[in-house]
Amino acid sequence: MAKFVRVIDTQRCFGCRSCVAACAVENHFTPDSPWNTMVEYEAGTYPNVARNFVTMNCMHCEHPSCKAACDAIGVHAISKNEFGVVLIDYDKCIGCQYCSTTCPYGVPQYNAEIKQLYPGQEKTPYEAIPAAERSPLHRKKAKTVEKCTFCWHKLEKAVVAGKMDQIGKVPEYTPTCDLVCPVQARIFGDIDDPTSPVSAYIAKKHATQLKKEFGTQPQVYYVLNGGDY
Amino acid sequence: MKKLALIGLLAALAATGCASDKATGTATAPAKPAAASEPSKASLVAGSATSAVLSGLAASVRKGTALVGGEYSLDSEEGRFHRIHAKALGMKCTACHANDSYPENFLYLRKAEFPMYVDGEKVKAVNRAMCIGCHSDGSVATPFYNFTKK
Repeated sequence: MAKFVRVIDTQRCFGCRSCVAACAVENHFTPDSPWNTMVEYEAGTYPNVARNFVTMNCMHCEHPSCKAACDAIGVHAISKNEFGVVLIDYDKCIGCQYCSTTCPYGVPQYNAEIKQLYPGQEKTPYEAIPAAERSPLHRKKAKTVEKCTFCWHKLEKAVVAGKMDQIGKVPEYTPTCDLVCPVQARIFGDIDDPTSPVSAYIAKKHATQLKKEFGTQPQVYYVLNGGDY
Repeated sequence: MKKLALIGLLAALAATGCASDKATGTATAPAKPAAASEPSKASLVAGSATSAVLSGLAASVRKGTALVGGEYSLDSEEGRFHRIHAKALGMKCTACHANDSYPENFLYLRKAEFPMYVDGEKVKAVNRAMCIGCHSDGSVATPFYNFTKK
């Protein structure tokens, strides 16, 4: 069985935010609820200083604390599928934000209202796409929580088409944020395949997970350049 | 008896990291600095008694016998979440909401939201590391972290 992971090399990232923008476009961004953001900070002391850029999205943890909290109160709106992808069912979500509270990475975003991109103006053609024509993951609802899905709507296509070997390689089957990086600081693929580029990169660059003390076993790895992780 | 339980509860919170003296400003700190000393028999007994009190409280919250309400919401101070932590456990707001914002190099997606203002009142940032002590698998509260492999 394939298990999808991402590695983000902060030593290569120079903060262009293409991945942030690509995620917003692909996933029907609504104001105040970004799925992918960039944490930017300085490290070191003059003259040996560096500016670090760390993009953050859902870690798709092996033991997701968001799911544990959701299950504990009997809502069961969060699931983790056999490929390791953690998803929220908007129809089941009650908007309690327990998942936002327990996530050590601050990932789940509470969407109090679906705001327009340009308030007071006509909806953009993109926003005007009817809910029925969108992936269920993009049928966003007010007063629910949302987050990165690893672009499951694209991965699912590969699974259905029996083209899982093309995930991480072919644009149609690869998360959009990973496609647009101009410096190849992001790699996505199957960690269960030791020959996959993502497995090789994690091993070669000693990529690590963030906030290991929580024991959630995130499926997003980072090549880090310093910082409080 | 109630006083004893409360003292025990505060001691357990301090021990588990659910509340810190710095953050709460409560008088739970020892009079003398406990420099690398071994815990006394009395404190061990008090600790286990407190642990039992906390476990009992956690069980009654889960069973629904504790009066913590049924509203699953973070927005309201009267929601179940805040009633459990602030009222049933007696934790002060500053035990969790300790800092205006997160440090610049803190890797947290919603970092930019803080300091947050709700109804004109500042809501300080919470470091989730506070929660690990009680909410790890095998501890007293509902486990969210550090699940053991089964």
